[in-house]
Amino acid sequence: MDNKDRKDKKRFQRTGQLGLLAGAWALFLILFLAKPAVVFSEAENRYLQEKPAFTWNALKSGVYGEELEKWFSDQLPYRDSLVQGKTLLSRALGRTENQGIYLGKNSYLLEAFQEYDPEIFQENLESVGQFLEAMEEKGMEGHLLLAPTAGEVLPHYLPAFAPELDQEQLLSQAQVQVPGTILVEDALKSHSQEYVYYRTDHHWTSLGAYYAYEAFREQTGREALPQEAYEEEILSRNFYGTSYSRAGSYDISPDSIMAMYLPGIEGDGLAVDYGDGKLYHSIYDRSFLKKRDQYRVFLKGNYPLVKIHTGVENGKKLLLVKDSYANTFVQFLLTDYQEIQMVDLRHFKASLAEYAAEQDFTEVLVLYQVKKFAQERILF
Amino acid sequence: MVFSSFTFLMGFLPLFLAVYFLLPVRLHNGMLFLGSLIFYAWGEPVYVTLLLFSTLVDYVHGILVDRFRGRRAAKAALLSSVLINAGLLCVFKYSGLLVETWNSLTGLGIPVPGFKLPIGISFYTFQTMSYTIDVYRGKAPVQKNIIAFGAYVSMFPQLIAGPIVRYVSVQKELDQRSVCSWDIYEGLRRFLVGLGKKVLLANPFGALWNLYLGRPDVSGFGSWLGILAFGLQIYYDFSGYSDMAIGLGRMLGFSFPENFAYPYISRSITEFWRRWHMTLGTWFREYVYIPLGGNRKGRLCQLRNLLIVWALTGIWHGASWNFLLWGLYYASFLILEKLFLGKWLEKAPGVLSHGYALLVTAVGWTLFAFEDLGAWAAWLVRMTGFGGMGNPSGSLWLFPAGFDLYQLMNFAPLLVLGLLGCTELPRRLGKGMLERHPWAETGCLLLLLGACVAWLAADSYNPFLYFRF
Repeated sequence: MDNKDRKDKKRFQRTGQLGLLAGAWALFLILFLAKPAVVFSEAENRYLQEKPAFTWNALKSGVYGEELEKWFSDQLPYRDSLVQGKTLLSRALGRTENQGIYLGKNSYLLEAFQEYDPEIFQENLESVGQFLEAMEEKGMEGHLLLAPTAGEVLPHYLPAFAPELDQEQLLSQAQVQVPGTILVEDALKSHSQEYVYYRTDHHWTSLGAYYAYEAFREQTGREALPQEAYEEEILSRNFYGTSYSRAGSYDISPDSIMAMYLPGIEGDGLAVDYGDGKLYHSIYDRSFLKKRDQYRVFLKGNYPLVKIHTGVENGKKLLLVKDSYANTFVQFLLTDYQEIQMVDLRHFKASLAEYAAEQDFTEVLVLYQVKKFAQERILF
Repeated sequence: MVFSSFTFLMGFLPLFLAVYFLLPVRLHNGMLFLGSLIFYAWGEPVYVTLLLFSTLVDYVHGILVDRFRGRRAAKAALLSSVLINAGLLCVFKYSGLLVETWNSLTGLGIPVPGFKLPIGISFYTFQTMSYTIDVYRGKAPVQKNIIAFGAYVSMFPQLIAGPIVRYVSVQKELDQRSVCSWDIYEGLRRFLVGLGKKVLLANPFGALWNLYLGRPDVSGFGSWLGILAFGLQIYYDFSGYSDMAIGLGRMLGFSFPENFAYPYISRSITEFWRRWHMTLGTWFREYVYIPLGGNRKGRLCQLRNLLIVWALTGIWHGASWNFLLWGLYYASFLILEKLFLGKWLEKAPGVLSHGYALLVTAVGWTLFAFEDLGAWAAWLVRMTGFGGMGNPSGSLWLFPAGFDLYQLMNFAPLLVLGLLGCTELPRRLGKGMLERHPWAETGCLLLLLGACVAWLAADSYNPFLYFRF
């Protein structure tokens, strides 16, 4: 009798254990099916997969299977918390890197730059060199400026032994091969205790861009306006950038975005043309401060061609071939040129050399972040 | 479909189990067959026909062997089955390698057939062969029900990555099986442990190995750390899959054979192969080694048999010559151990015998990992500590470079967990806990499930290594 009781109790308990395990999973499934679909992930800044429509063709080609898997993983209940939990747990287990982002000291997230393609870097250097040479033959002054990444300028925030590339070597290789190369690394490094790069984004701050600008002016034999001349306006105190998104909802305080401009520079004299048929009288678009990617407050982000008439009358006309690092840099160029045209080669479809020849520029500046320049083929 | 995908965990498995257990018992084999075909077709819609063809071939051959029992026709039917199965493997797995090698030897330009390897073909052809051979030998009764036989061949829990379940070991359960809630719970527990091995251990170790594989400059220390990561990845990946298969089988009322028994605690290579991928070893022993005469026809004959078995075992792991070398590499140690080393190892202190077995296994994994023999040799040189020679930026001997220290810092706790998991320690601890606090165990399993879901949600990195089989 005693024995039978114990057996019954044990069986009851086993069924209970199974019920708990299976029940928890069933609950998770029910939550998954019952919760409304999330269309857009704020944390990842991308559209999420919604329930795919079934067709035989989609099934046969494998598209349906892929989309279904993506639908499950994108629409998981508590998805953001799960991902955040994973990041926190891996960090507790000693991981200092997630998706190419270092979880650095002092809550700094830094973009990892550990390898590059020497062939692509070499090709890009040759291609820029030839382009600048051709422009110089037409009487323009030409310069190349490669911006170092945060890891190079702020090594004290990197995790111990972080296998970062020696960017100095890349930059000096550029200097040897391309005449007119501007080196801004030392200038930035001498301010490495200041807020020169965002903590949650891979870009430099306006302050960082100013120090680069100062070095640019100096190395081209000109003078920069002192920092005090600029009005500093905090545009945002709740900016979470690209590194934050990639590192996976890491518990960290937001960045602030500061604008630097000369008093009175914005107004009727200034006209920015993005090619959408309108003219804007500011290089800032504050509507982006309410959106996810607040960095686009500077010149709306990346457009194929942006023409800026500054209102300064000195006859100087700059062609700025660039990536997004230039968008903050432009703040300081407004006083130096009558017209600035920014070209983003990823989106610009015409021939750059022909366009440049047509437009009578007096000066060309090629400005890229060194990592992109060393990893992606850029066609001039 | 792979087990560590949401499509399986949240879609296929719950749906399948719900329908399966709602159906009356007599329809269970049919449901298992159907479900397995859907499972297989998910990734390989075209090759389902191949799976069905293989099923039909051995179903028919089994009946023929049975009908002509005792006559020459039975032997002919057996031979025909073996030839068809081996032929399927040759065409779909090895034809590319064979033609390429022939071309490079003769300088001819025969077009190389570009078959994509059908998933699981190495497993199911071996299983169907085991059936026909065992029917011929009178060890298994003929299966006249094609649904039951189809359910055996295509059984989704072990279709893709084993264990290799011989027909005799599940033959009774195919016709009659029962499950109680305890079986389902235990099966689920085993499945979750396997999922954890795959998602929480194998995948990160794989990521670490890939970091090293992609580097042009690896230090001596790094080459050891890399191969350690590879060895851990492949162990947790494969044994995790076996655990999941065994667990799923148990939920459905099957008791699959065990496939791994702590291989890394072996004290000899002979022992290692008794603990690693055990069902493959059994298969080759039963159907190749013993029929060839085993060890009953003298030393020389045994030597030949060992070489044949291990050449086949090696090349079974993938259509590339390095796998053949890998098999022969092990054959040489097995032979040495049979000759004298084995006796010596038995008497040697544990440090030496464990060290020997681990060293041989680690070097073995380099052969497994590199298809390109040049890259393999370079890696071996690095492991000797001479890799940094003549390279001013390389680090000397076996000292770690900065990169190694960084990876070590990032992975140290995981490596410790992974190494501990290779021993019997966690099982002993778990067993004690299970007996004393069953509810705590269930709690741990829930946490494990949560962690797997979190890792899968966060990680798009989820390749499956054993698709080359």
